[in-house]
Amino acid sequence: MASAIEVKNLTTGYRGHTALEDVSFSMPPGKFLGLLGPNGSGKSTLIKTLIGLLDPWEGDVRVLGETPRAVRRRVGYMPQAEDIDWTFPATVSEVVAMGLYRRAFGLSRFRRGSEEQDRIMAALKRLSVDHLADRQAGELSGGQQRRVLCARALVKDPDLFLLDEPTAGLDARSEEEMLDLLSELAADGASIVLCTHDIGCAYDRCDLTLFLNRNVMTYGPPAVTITEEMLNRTFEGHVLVMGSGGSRLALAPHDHHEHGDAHEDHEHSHHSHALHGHDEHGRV
Amino acid sequence: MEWFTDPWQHEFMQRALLAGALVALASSVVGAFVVIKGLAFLTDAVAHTSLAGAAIAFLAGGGSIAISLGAAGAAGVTAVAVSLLTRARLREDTAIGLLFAALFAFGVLLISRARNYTLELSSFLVGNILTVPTDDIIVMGVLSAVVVVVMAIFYREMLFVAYDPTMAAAAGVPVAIVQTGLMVLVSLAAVAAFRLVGVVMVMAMLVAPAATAALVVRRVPLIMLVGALFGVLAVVIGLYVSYHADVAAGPSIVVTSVLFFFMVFALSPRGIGSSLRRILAT
Repeated sequence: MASAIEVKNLTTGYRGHTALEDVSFSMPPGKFLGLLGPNGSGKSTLIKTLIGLLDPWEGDVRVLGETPRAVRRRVGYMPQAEDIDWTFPATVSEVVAMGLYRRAFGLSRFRRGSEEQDRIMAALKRLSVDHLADRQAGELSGGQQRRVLCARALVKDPDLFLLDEPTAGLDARSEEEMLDLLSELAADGASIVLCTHDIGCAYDRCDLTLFLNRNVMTYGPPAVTITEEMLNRTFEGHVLVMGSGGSRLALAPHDHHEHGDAHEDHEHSHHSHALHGHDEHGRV
Repeated sequence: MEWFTDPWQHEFMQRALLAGALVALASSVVGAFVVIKGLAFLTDAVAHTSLAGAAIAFLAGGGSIAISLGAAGAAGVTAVAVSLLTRARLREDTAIGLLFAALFAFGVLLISRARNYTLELSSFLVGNILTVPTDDIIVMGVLSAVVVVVMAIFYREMLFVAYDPTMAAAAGVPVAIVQTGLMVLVSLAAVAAFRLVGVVMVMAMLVAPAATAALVVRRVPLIMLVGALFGVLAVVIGLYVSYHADVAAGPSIVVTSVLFFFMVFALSPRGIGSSLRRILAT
């Protein structure tokens, strides 16, 4: 079976600004990969390249053995909740239906079978928000909105999931539930790429971690890659390492100007702190 | 009873009602997206700049159909030019403002060459709903049909792109084409409304009924449908007011339409009523 992701010497960016430089890595199928790095490190750029929104300037990108555009129907993508205009009048099932979008011509454009409705409900059920199907998505809590976006990503049963900060702003229980679901999907053979700032969660959950800062800082199983030295190099000192001894759990209280949700993230790091029960911490 | 039936004895009133209903339909179908995506300023600019195209066709001696085509052409140029200037990193409202002023002024300047300048200018500015010629009704019917059919076919794409352009692009929707397509539909509806109520009040036709509907219902297709009903109702009441009070018809329709909005706004759970209650409760 082909690699889930095969990136060779990728260089790309926006409007002449280079965001990724000479990035190479290969991800085997069925793995759970944590993509870590500070803001502006190119995480979102990499995701956008993998879903075919950005073309490589140099190098080559293969997703499930093909070009990103050729496999778009087998890839599920969950954007950051902050990227969505929640004032838009759309019901939860309308939002999830967008995940089933396919190009259609002629009369098949108007066919909206009961099968489609079943898949939408199944996806919502998987995230325990099926009772909200007819509600306005904008009226839901932040956690429920993230579940809806996640349902939209998995409604077409993709082979590869790309999730951008899916757990940011979730309470501890919702975060655990969402991560359990992702682990379940990986166990069923899907490949998962999780963009996150939560190094503790990457350590606990991921098979592989990739530290990104314009290029690949390190890549491998978390027990090998998550070291104080690597955190320091990747996050350039903006890191709080918590815990001691063998379990190196760390958090990055990054400055989140991009989306203006510094507050949310701040809370998030606190809750992770509580979650893993570490009480000692110091600035590295 | 005669008060209600009398106006419709006249053929010009029947024609005005038909024209108004056609325009209300097209306006609320695109108006739903105009209101949701905050495109009111762009819509107003498109309407005003259509004057330049209409003026060129008029001075060249063209009839109703040529004038509408000219207006649609100029409106389309505005929509495309705004999108190009914005891509060249000019702020969108700056780009709209510049084109709005320049092309509108150019339109007035052209019309000032006409022999009966004031008369022609006023028909372009405030419309001619009570004297609307058959050709214009045909043009409005065709424009409305195009708007409704195209929207029905590409509704999924329009909704997807309006809601989440990034994910739409990732799913293979040609986002730039769909966005431009929406602006073209807005231009067509604006041209239909322009012949009815004039460039100055086009925006009210496109914004007010859909904005009123958005207070009452919360799904895009329902906003279109309820908006069309509010629009037609405003046309009917506006025509009654115009007939009995002997005032201009276009402005009567527009004022009625905007009054509807504020009445519903005052009564709706999200409107003034709830704001007042909140203020009093504190």
